[in-house]
Amino acid sequence: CGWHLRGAPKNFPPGSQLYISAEDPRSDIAEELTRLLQNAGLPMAESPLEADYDLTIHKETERKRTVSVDAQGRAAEYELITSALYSVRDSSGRTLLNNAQADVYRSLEWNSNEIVSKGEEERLLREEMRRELISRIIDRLRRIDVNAPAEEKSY
Amino acid sequence: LQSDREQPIKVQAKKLEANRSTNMSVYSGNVVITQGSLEIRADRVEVHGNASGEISRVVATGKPAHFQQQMQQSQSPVKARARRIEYTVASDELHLSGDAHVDRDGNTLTAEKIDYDLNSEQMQAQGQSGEGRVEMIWKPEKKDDSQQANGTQQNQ
Amino acid sequence: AEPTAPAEPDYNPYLYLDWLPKWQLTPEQRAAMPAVCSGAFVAPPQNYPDASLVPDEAPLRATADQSKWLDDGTAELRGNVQITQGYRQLFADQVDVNQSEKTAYLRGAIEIREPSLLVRGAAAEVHTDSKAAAIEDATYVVHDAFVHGSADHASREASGELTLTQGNYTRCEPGKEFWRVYGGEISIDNVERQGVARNVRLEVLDVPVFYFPYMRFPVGDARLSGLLFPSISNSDKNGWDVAIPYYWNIAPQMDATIVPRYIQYRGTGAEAEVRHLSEVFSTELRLAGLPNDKGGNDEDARNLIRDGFPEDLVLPAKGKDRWLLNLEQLGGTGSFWRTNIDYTKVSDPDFFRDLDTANLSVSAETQVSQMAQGSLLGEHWRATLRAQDYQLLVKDRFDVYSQLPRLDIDGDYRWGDWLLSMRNQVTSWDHDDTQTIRFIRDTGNPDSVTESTRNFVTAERLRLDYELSWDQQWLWGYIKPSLAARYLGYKLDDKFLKPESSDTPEASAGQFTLDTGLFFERDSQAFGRDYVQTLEPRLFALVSSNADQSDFFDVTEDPLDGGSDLLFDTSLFTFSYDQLFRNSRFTGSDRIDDADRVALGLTTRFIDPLSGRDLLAASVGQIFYSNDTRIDRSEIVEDAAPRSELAARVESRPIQSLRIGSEIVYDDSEHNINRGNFSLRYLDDDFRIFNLGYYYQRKNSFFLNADGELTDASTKQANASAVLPVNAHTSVLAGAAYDLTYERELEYLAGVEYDSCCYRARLVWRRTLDNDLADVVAPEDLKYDEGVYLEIQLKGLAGLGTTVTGMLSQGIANFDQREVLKQ
Repeated sequence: CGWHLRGAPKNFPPGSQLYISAEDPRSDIAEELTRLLQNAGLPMAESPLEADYDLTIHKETERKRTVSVDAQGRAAEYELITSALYSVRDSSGRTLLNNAQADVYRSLEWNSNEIVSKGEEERLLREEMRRELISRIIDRLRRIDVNAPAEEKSY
Repeated sequence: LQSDREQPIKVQAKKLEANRSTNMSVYSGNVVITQGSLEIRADRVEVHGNASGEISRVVATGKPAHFQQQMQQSQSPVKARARRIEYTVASDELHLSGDAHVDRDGNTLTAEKIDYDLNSEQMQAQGQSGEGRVEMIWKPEKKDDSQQANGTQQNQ
Repeated sequence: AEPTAPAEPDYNPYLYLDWLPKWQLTPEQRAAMPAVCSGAFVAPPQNYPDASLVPDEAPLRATADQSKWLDDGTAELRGNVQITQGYRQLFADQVDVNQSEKTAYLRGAIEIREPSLLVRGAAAEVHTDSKAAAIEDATYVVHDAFVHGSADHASREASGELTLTQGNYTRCEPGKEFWRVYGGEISIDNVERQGVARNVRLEVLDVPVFYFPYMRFPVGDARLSGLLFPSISNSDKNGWDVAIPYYWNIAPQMDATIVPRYIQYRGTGAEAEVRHLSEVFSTELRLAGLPNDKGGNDEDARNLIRDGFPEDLVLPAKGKDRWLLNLEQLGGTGSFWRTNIDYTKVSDPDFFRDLDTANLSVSAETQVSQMAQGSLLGEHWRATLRAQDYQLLVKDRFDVYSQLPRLDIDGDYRWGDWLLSMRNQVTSWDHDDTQTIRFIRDTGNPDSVTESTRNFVTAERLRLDYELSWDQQWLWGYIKPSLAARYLGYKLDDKFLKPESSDTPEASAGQFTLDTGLFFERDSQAFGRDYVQTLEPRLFALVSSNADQSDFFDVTEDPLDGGSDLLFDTSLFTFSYDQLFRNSRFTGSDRIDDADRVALGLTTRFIDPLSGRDLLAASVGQIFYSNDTRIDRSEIVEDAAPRSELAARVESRPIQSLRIGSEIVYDDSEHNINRGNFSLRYLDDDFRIFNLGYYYQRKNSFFLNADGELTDASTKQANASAVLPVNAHTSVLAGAAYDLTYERELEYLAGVEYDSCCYRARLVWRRTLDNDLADVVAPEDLKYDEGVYLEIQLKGLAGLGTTVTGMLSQGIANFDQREVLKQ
């Protein structure tokens, strides 16, 4: 019924060098993602010039919403959202993804008796969400049909 | 220059037709008239004299006719051109008409008609009624010689 | 929608201000302008020679009907005079140019143009060797700042600033000037994008509203929080609450917002926010103070006091000074070191609930974090030193342990497919040895005031996690077997320990983990679109030696002592699909999860082949344990369930502006859903919002509801919210959150927003569950706080007050995203 093992991606084939930069000098997302991908064995370029693909994170936002409260009306469950606005250019300068949006949602049960441990869980979740965010960005970069018309691509 | 008046007038031209009765002589064919720093070049120059043989009026025409004279020792000469340049000796005035253009030390004035008083170095420019307009261009100060006095008050 | 030209193009009375109505703009200009404006200031193109040169480096070209050129270089030009000098253009009826003095005197219907600046007037003196110009009876427009106005005298300084004496300034569309600032002196700096005004009067609809001796305001960027307009609100608890913010742009890198605030039933205080940006640090300091709080007008509190409860417990802050300190700083951009400070301290737990900071955007929850952290980043090593404490905002609980300090040293090396990761962590857990708290246990019974004291064990903890993995990845799958060694050891302060408890308990374990998965794909077709469907099975196995952690339980004489089970930063992760593939059920480092297990998970995704986006992603999985004894937080469980709950998750984004998400945690042995949620989020480019949400969490506990019946206490809550534009300017917004368990509304929110070109007004009514007295009052009879909030923002002059916006962003999902989109 058509199932086959995943083959070579349309773009960003294995071994291509990626360079990540962030527009906001304050944010550490560029270094974090570079370190994450290096540890995952992905070849990371030292500078945009040598890179086959240049990923620019325009904006990373971490949001936290109370979605349910306990009997006393205090937060009992949070929804954590980590989202990024990013663009990707290849070495010839062609823009593959322009101002694309990626986001990751997670639930965090809260208990006001376990503030220190739940605070620790939130920190660990944010790390996992960043890992998931970069894998979604790369997955989309590998699958996008570069010659598709623009509105189709940003659909 | 002051001294131009005493200089001899030299005229070169292809053809000369003198006409005693009208006290007018006409030079034609790339005419060049020089007197000291003054120089007029034109296709055709009419020199009108008065009864006593002194020149009263010179009318140069060309496509365009050129006029050049050094007003003062220090400055570069004033250059002017127009299709018709009339020089009246008595009032020492130049009347340029037809695409008139004056260049004084890089600053230019373009108009349909320009009246140029050589004594006071004052110029009056008229646009043609309707489309023809006066245009003046002052070149920017070069940063280094910005104190170069150009056009300090000077009277003949 | 393409704006069509009106039937007979009406006469454009403001063409002299370069104002073009929307239908006369090019599509690009129309896209660049805010949707709520009806046109834009567009300067005619400058296509003449030298148009791009700087004036003092360009020749001065003048044309006129006639001109007189005197010998001293001065010229008198008459009749429709047009002068260009680089990018500056001058038009006038008469111009006298004095080249030696480098000035031009213009008279009669004069017009001066520069990129993004137009000044008209009766007479002007312009210096040809600099930007300086002085214009009488001026009317001006700063195009890209969307700013215009007039002045008796306008002068353009050599520095480029435009200074108006006896002038006015507005950012509203010509003819629809909702607000206008009149000033003795207003100076606009379009380079620094800011303006300064002295003895200034603000008029709204030609009615003088405020007088400012001195005011700085942003030019051009409506988003910049300039002079924050006063926010006025009225609520039962606080009465009239008026805050008048002043924005003070101290230096290009530093600004401050000072907000004096009057609260009818509490007193007068002030808030200040200072922001500083340097090459290396970005710092935000917030201070708030309200001396001698009058206690507010809380009717429930009065009843409790009348019933005999001690006032200092019901209204602990009455008569006291209330203050807040908040410091947030990020440091070390892109270099090998980073610092991060997030420190908040408040005078008392009720600070946020009572004062609901008018302007400060510090999030109020059940605690505030007090953290300072510095890290050094090497190529393979990273060291982080952190001090972390929390201040609790609840009254019936003991303080938490603080980490003073915690040191993490992480090393990562990769050789080909081999990966070595080393985690070393030392933490010192501090707490007062003994703490006493006083609180009201039962609001029905005045003498239920209780006092309770507890001892706390302090500890030094060492945690080591070394893991060597063979991380092999192919296009079609991956396999990652790892060998891990984990060590956990404590040095306990033995003051409260049982004699037989060891003061240096420790545990260690050797573990083997295997994380492997495959990626299957096929091309498919549905709803007339083709897509790629993936099938991604994943397996995570863990085999561990027995980490004998029995010494960690019940170490203190009194089992109620703090730290008795050596639990400092450990609790169970929120169970979800992601939990299947974590190497521990526990957060933090106080437990080694040595339960042998295998987790199986399956994910399928439907991907749009053109955009590469996931249209739908669904996952399901479960953990299978090999034996039934398992370490837990406070005990070793003997008869633990052989399987974890079933975890499922669906996330779908059929179109870019719609997201539907759901999570289910299902106990297949007891046939119960333990946790579930559903959320629908819609936000589109026309600023429409629609949200739905349902959240369920099973609790095996019951309570007597209002009619005395035994009711299941599981959390069942729903919320819905919407923002619907009625027309180009007006939007109605509403939100509701309802608690099905206690059958009470948690929050109702309704309001209207009028968004015009140069101002935005929001009127919001909100009724929300007031959890002030939550520790004092039984859940069912918590009271409500109801209030009407009005907020007006003058775009380009006064920035956004955060009270109403904060409320709406919390009450309506994606409202903050809509704010960003709308700018």
